[in-house]
Amino acid sequence: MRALIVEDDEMIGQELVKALSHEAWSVDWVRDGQHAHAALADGHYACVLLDLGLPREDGTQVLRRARQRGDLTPVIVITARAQLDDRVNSLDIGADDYLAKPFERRELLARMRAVVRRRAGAASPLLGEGRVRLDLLTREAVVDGRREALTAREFALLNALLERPGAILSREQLESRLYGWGEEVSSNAIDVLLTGLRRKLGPEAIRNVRGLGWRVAPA
Amino acid sequence: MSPPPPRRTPSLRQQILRRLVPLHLVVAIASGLISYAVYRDLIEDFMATQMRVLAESYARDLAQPVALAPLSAADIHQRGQFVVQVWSPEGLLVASSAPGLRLARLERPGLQGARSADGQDWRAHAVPAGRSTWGVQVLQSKTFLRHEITTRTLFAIGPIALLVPLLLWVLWRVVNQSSAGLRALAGEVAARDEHRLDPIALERVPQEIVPLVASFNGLLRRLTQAFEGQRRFVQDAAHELRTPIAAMQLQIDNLRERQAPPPGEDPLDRLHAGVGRAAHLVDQLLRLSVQEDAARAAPAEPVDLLALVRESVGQCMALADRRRIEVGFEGAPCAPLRGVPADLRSVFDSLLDNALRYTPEGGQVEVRLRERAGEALIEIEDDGPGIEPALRERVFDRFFRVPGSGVAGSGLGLSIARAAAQRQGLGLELLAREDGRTGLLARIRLPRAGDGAGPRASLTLG
Repeated sequence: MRALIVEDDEMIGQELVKALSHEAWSVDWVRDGQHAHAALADGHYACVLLDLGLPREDGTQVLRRARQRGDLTPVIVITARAQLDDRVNSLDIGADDYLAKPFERRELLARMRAVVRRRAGAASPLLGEGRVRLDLLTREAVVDGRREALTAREFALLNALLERPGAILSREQLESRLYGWGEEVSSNAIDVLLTGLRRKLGPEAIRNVRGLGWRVAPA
Repeated sequence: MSPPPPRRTPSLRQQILRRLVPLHLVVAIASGLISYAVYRDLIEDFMATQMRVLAESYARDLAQPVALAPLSAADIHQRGQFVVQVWSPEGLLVASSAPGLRLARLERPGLQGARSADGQDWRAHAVPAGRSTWGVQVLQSKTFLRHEITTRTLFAIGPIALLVPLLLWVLWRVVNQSSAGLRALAGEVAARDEHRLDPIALERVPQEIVPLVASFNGLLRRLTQAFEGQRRFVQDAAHELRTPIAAMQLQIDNLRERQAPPPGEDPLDRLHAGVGRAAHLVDQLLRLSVQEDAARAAPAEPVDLLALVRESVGQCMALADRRRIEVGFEGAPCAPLRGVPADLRSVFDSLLDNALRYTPEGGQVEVRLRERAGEALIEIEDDGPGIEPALRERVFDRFFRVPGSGVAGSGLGLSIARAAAQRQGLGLELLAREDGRTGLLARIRLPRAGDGAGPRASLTLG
């Protein structure tokens, strides 16, 4: 698979080329916005890593023009500016993902695989970022690549916990998410569900924070 | 040689007292004296003419025996009626309008002073009548004259005497009002700090000091620009630092990929930790500068503290997992209070992060939420080494790190927490644990609005 790196910093560029080559990507590297246009126009890339702070033409401009041309190549924006506004802005103009400097090589490669998979339409959407994820189409849990079937309640519980990364949900919050108004909830209903989930996903998959509630282990 | 201490200019009020009050008193006294002299001359001249005319008219008709109506003491001394005496050539008093008055015949003709046997002072005009030695004397009581002159003088200076206190009172009011304006202005100036540099409104400033206030506003504007420039520099520097850090991180990852890890401790791990620490420091710097951006001050809103603490703990659990620290919470939901969620989160996150960094691996961090009279308390208690009382103030300084702690902190977390706490009007204390074990107890006191100690008004208003 071919990847295009648009990066003006020599050090980062070299290391990115090394990292991607090692993972069997064939890599083209351009150092400014105008070359990026040329490269995008004639190459078919599986993924583009785009730095925003570029000489001669800004990365945002490169991305916007590519999208206006109808170019749908998956683009991961890499930038030192990681304020919320910058992230939202990049996603709005058509980036597929966003990575703030500094980042780990593992994470970069995983995100590249993810955008490629998504663009290919092969992967169903997975909720979650850590060891435990939720396949929203098949309603299965994915733990370390292994798939586990879930009951409707188990699915709802895991869905609630995975919706926001790092969230801790109390018993009351979980009950209100899982059960309708006026529905009779036995006092240990959540405990029973959690026991079942832990049996399927492993004892460390869902952890208790004493006094606050439950969360999904991040890694 | 040291310069002499600067002499303080006396206040406006003192200047007014020292200069205007004596001046007014001198003018009032002088005008009294002048009025007295003028009235004395006026009255005495007038009366002298009257006495002369009266005496001469009696002297012309001395052939007939004179019958004079007797005057009472009140007529003479209070109404100032003239006393007429007619003397025979033998030196006998043949007629007198004041029969009881015992006064020797005057030797000299014309106007003169005289004293009667009862000690009264008189003005007198004596006229020798014709060629004979008959004589006529007209007398007027000096008691009456003095009284008359004094009365006239007092009437003349009365308005001035009334005007002086009135004038001083008006001046006093004017000075008080302008100094109240100055005091209000001083309050406005004192309210300015690095978070509040908006110009001072010129509308209510006394006209005379408008140029001063305008220059001060200019200074505020330049300060704002300087602060802004500094913030931008820190932000730019932090952003620029991220690129080389990212490059180093990738280099380490690439190196690790290429060679099998050596037995024992991997030197790359330590390198990786060092890069991680630099990245953390840059992040904290950026947070600090973004936080200082006064323009980002968000409006206060009702905040559910338990939900906020839950989020904060959730965000920090990655670090807790890595260091195998057990985090526990104790407390009940409490009534919402007003605050800016981002600032409150900043305080909680920083203190929690601090606790998780300084607690040894496998330790325990307790978070408590409780209510006390008029305030909510959040306490974060750790198993770490604690902070000596002497250093508990210094740890809030930027880049200050407790010596010998060996923890990869940035030295910025607590100053970030304090800055946010101050903006929100929260109390922030670092204490020893109350159960006697080693460790730090960080206590955040959140006053309930309505006690007059809520989050700063300027923030509440946005």
